[in-house]
Amino acid sequence: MDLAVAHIRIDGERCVSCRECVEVCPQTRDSQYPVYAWGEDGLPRVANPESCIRCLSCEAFCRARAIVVDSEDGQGWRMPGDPRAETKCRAIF
Amino acid sequence: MRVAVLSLSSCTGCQYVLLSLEEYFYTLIGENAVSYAPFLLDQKELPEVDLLLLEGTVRNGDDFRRLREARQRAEKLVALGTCACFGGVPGLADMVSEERMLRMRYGEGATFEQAPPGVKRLLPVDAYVSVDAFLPGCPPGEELLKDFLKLALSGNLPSRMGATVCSECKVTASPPSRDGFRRLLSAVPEDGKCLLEQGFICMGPLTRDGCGALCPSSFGVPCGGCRGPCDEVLLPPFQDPCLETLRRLARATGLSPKAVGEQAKDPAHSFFKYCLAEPLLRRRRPGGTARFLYRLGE
Repeated sequence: MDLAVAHIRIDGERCVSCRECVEVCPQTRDSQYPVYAWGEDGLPRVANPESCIRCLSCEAFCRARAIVVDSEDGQGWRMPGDPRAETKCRAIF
Repeated sequence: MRVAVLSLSSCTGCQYVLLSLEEYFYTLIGENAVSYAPFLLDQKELPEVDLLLLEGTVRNGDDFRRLREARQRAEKLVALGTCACFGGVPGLADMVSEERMLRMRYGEGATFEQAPPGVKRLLPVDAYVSVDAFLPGCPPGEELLKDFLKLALSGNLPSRMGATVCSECKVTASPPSRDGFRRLLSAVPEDGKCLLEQGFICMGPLTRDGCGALCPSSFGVPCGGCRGPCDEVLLPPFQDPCLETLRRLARATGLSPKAVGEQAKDPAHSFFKYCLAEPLLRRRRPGGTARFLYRLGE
């Protein structure tokens, strides 16, 4: 089992401060070591990345696509999609 | 580079964005040979071209024949506009039978003997032929089209890592107003506040970026999704535009998702206005587009 710590990147320019990441993260609400904390600048901040269970909820629910949860090698934990969808997404401008 | 513009069944709006490019349009026709463009030139036959901008959808057999011929004569084919990329507004016609659709449009007394037989199911252009690049938008924004053409005419068909309209929106999400579900017809949105948090249906979180989020951030109009679904809707984990928007509206209004869903009277037009014809969304369960489509033989 891969026990590497998740690398969570937050793009501050994209973030719209909707707080959804903080709300949906199962390891943040009522947690002693929350993954996310609300920063004073109005943006979420990764407080304890080692608590992350890599459910990718924050990445999926982020309305501005500002969060990327990545593995150490940069490959991430992506599920394979429909080949036609992948081809189409690669070709869209 | 030899360039052509071909229009299938469409409103031709995407062609006219080319005219609104102003100075760049003169550069375009000066540096490249525009060999076929029905709105510019009196040229009847589509010659062999290097780059073909194709707008509109296949609505009948005639469109299909033209599309097939165009694919054979074009080196690179670009789907221009949401109709060609995702089916667009014409895809909404599949919600009723063809007979009923024609009656709704042309009245009870009309006869359709001369009408060309339509396709049984409307599909985006890439379901029929291979497409090299997509530029969605209804119509695509001028700056976006200019950037695309600059790269495409230099020989490289561009693609971009898409985010969502929210990532470009100038409005910062405020705490939910909890005023209940609202419509543009009955309520005036407050300036500078997130429309979704105010209880309006805004498709920004699920729509591809690139438009500069003009509607929600400059004009106070909720995003309708004209740039089509973003990557996260088309790829795993397969977000459903309908369920996702209802969930966000439920969070903003303090109502249950079911109560919000009952108040959203026309889910197909609200959530899938520009992508009802996209086959990638039709397969999705639950909450895919299949339940909105008229089934043949029923």
